[in-house]
Amino acid sequence: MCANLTLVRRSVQLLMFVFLVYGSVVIGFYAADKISGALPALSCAYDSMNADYCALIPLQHQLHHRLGAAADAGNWFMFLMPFLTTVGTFLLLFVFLNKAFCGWVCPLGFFQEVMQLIGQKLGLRRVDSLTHGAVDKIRPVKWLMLGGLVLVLPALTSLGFLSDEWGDPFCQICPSRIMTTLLTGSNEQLFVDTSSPSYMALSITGDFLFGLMVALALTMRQPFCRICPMLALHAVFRKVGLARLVKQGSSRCEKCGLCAEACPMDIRELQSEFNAVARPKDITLADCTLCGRCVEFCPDKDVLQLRYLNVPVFSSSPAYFKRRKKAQTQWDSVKLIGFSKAEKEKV
Amino acid sequence: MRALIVFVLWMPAFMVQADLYWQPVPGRGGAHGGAAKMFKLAEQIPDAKRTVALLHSDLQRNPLEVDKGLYRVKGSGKNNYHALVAREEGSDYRHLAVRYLYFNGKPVDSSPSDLLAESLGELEIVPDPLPREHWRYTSDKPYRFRVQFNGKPLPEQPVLVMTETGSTEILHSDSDGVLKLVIPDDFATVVPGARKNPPGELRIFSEVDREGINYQSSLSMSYYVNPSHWKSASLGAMAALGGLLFGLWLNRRLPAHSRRKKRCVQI
Ligand code: SF4
Ligand code: SF4
Repeated sequence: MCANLTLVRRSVQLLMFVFLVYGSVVIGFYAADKISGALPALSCAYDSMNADYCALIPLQHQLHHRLGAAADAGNWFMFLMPFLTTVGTFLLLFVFLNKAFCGWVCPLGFFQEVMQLIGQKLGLRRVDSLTHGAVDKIRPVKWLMLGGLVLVLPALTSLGFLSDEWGDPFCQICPSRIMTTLLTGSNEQLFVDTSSPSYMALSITGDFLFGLMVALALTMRQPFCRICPMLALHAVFRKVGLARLVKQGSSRCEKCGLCAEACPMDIRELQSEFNAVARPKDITLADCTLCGRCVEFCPDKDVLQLRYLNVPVFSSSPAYFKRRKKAQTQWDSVKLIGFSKAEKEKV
Repeated sequence: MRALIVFVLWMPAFMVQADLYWQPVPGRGGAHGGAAKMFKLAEQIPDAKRTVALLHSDLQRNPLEVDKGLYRVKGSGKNNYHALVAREEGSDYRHLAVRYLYFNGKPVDSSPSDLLAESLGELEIVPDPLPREHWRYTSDKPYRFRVQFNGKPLPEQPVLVMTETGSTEILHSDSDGVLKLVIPDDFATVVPGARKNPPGELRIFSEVDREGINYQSSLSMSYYVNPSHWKSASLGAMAALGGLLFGLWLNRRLPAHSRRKKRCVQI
């Protein structure tokens, strides 16, 4: 059992962040040099130094540029061939890590965690969890982002129902585009485009969303991840992934709920589901990022496990829980500045 | 006196100007896409031995036939950059004209860096790098090119840069043979919108003499209006600041919520 799973994960995230944001130095500059061109994480194609492209950009572009042309020519192969190649490449990678692409690989996921650490150290963090009502309202947004911005609007643009500006609407509002380019020293992606009302609306939305994400990430956990279309895309295919979160709960879970409290995505079903089952059940839910915090903070032996090919790789245990709780309490008590009164009182 | 100074400053421009270069024929295909493109070779030497070829993205070479002075370059069915290469040879000269073209098509195994590594002639001006696939040369942005002779860098080599709209500049490669160039933002009129402005033409020429043979090389390319004409970075920063302030305000209003009624541990 490792000493601190979160530390291991943050190290992997840092490595992946540096590699994905600046990796062209190793991988090569051109799109043809990139690892896959359909990565299941928001590694932005607009970053001139990146090592790979996120899958959402080819999905939007193929819908935008190929669907209408295929419909006009009556040749669906023209569209399906590249589109299915992208989905296939995405799946080939996704199978290996499943939703852990979010919790362990995604540069934007890591950026939000770093913001949260900064917020906590500045004493800004006030909101551990959102209310059930807020969580329930936010959860469907990721499906609207995937369905609306990644699939439907580019398709409608391609078929001539919308003007060309709507060909890649998610990219135009994606905070990863602005974050990664700023971190490579370019402000080219932080702009308001005044060339048309649609471009202006999209660019203002993108900039505003970026600022909003930074502010919210200082004070609550993973604000953008909750509405991220990639999270929804992962959710569609999560049953084919080799990495899983499994649970074999007991009646004690009803009174505990430490797992749900530890979860940065506020998945309360962690506590309420699979509490009287004979065998461990897959509880890799739609919003899960396979970060493993719930397993770390479960005080009961083997109730929660991260499994790979159904082999447990990390299991909850009372001894680990005690150590981890102590380490977390010590870490949380270190504050550089105490901006928030509520936060000061909590410590 | 002033006229003399201007004349002296302009002299090197004519000394380094190579004649042979690729010129797109207007209205016959854009910078990207699979459609056929039409080009002509400007300033040819009539009796020179001339070879013209298209080097595909997978490094296959096809000779190109001329038809009424025009070269028609059909999409090869292969994706990515191709090189249009013309050579003229005589007893005491070797002239090279190169232009990189992008075609849509089936993906190939090689990368544009493999294409750029191919030797096209003795004196070469090689993009370092080409704009990434689906990006393009843009005015008011810096680019790098390697100036090399027989594959070796040519330090302090004079290079003439000129645009169709009349900007002319003499630059020199640095001690590593690298030419750093900011494409001039010299469009006469700019309409807001990436697709609303036709591209300009940029040509880079260089020339050396070695053992009685004159080597000339040209690289030509389309370049596009810098979108900063209609994209405002300061407005973008303001919109992001608005989001930031709204987020901080929103945070004060979010109820601090705990999932568990009785907290055992702060995590
Ligand atoms: S949900 Fe978060 S971690 Fe996952 S792809 Fe989106 S931004 Fe990245
Ligand atoms: S359910 Fe567990 S693994 Fe998934 S995001 Fe929440 S804490 Fe992480």
